[in-house]
Amino acid sequence: MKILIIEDEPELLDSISSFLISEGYLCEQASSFDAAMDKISLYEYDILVVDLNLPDGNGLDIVKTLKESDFKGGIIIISARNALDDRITGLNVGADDYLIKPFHLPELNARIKSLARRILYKGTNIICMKEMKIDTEKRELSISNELVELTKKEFDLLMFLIINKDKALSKESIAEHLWGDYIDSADSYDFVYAHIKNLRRKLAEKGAGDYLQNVYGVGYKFTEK
Amino acid sequence: MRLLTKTTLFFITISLFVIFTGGILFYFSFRYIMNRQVQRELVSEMHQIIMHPREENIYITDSSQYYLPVHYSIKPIRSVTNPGVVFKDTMLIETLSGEYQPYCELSIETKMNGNPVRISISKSLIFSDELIKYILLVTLFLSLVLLIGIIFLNKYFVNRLWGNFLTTVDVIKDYRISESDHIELPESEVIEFQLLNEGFEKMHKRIRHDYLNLKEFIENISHEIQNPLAIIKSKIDLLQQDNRLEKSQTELVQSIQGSAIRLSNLNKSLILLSKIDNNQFPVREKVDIAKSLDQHIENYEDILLTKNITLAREYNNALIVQGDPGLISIMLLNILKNSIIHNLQSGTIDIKIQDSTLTIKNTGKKLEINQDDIFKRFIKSSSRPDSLGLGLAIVKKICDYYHFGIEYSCSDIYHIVTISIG
Repeated sequence: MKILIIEDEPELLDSISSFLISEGYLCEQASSFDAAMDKISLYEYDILVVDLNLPDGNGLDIVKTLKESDFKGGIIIISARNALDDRITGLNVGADDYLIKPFHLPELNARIKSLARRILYKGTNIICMKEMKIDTEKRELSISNELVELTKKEFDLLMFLIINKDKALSKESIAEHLWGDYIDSADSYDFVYAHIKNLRRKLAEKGAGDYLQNVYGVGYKFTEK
Repeated sequence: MRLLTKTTLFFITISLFVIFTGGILFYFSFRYIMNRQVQRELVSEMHQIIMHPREENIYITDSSQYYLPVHYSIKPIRSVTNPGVVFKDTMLIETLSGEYQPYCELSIETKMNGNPVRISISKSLIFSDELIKYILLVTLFLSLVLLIGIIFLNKYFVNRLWGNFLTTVDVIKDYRISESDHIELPESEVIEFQLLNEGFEKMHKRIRHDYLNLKEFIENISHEIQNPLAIIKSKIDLLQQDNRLEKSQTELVQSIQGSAIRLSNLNKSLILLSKIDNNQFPVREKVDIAKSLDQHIENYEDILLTKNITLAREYNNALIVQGDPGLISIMLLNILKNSIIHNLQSGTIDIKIQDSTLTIKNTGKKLEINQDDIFKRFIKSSSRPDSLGLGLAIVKKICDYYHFGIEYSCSDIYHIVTISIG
């Protein structure tokens, strides 16, 4: 899958692309409006990550241009502006998602994956992994064809971990993914811990392998190894 | 004490003093003049008697002129010892009414037809006394009328003149640096008030200018901080993927991450506060409080379960408010978040909507901070150094923005936040 990242902060651009490359994506970078427009006209991309504030233009115009052409991929806007109307404008002109800076890279990864599933691999709502089968549409997990009852947050947690497979996820990024503004970071540890504990127990009860690893000083990691 | 009251009191004191002493002076000088007049008349009477002595002892002269009874007597004496004219005030019985009345008596020892006699002529002062009395009364009455008139006129003019001043004071009272771009002050013909208005307008312009500068600075800072924060956060995410890190290094990264997130939350809150200040939430939609609350509660279900908190809802009626749905949602979210985070293990939360008030009552530890400071920014309990202390400040700000009333009270274990709409 080919991703174009349009972002004028070189450091952030580097971070995003190195994380996404490690996820196995093909990443290209554009650090200005003109560079981005050039790349779009020359190559095809599956997903675009667009910063709105570019030194020589507005990211929204890139989104508009793409939507007027026969672009079939997905667009995720990343912006430092948290204004609700910015978000609405962004989604109105055709962006598929909107992420506010500063964000966690696993969060961006999760958004890209979910967008890819929605747009690029239409109809493939089933993720299979060893004895686990996840229906993302129905939000159901079955282990060895047996349904596991998960709460909404537990399912979200499992999805976040699986999407960021083999990546160490900090408790903070998990908390932010699950609750967003609903919880302050200081309180999140206990709740994340409680959810992980419950999830582990439920997976173990149905005989799934222990894929949930603790990562010292960071948080948790989902791994098949 | 109002300036008018003060000046009026001062004025009344002075006036009463002047009227009182003036009245006394007036009384005595008038009396003196009247007495002189009576004495003069008595003297002319005396000359007439000496020149044309009559038989009768007492009779009334010039009654047609003054209506004043005049008594006179001529008594023989042995010799003239004191030839001068002597005046004295005396009381004599009035033959008609039988009452004592004031008289002025003139007595002189002289020779009449060669015989030494004492002639006494007395003239009633009753009319001159009454005249003085009435003149005094009328004068006092007029003075009082004048005084009262002046007081009311003064009040009227002062109110008219100070009206502009009071309008200016009202403008200053309602003055909000964040809201008023331009201030409307009443025109005044009074130079002092013009100076005041001018001074205030100049002050307003200066403060407004500084305020806008500061506001812009804060906005810029807040937005500029987002990018470096995004970089820090992303680098930490990458660093955490590195499994070559030592334990101690991981701990450092963890610590950096915590601070970065705190800074990011702080920044987010400050941007929100400054946006409310800037009136960037013009949307007015109907928001159902109960509905919004239910959504938030659903999001907290797992956490409530983890902390074993019992949450009871009692919606007696629908509570609809006008406002930005996002902002109202943040307000409710922050109250709810507070009631959960500061709750005890196995505590309770009672949410009640009754008429136009929303009450959220939760168990919790005793408040460490002053109850009156609860809505101030950056006020937090020492047991929670990580908290920003902005949650309730934001709630208060939103309540103020929409003119909702908000109250906080606490007992030993209960904390109660009450919001009244309208």
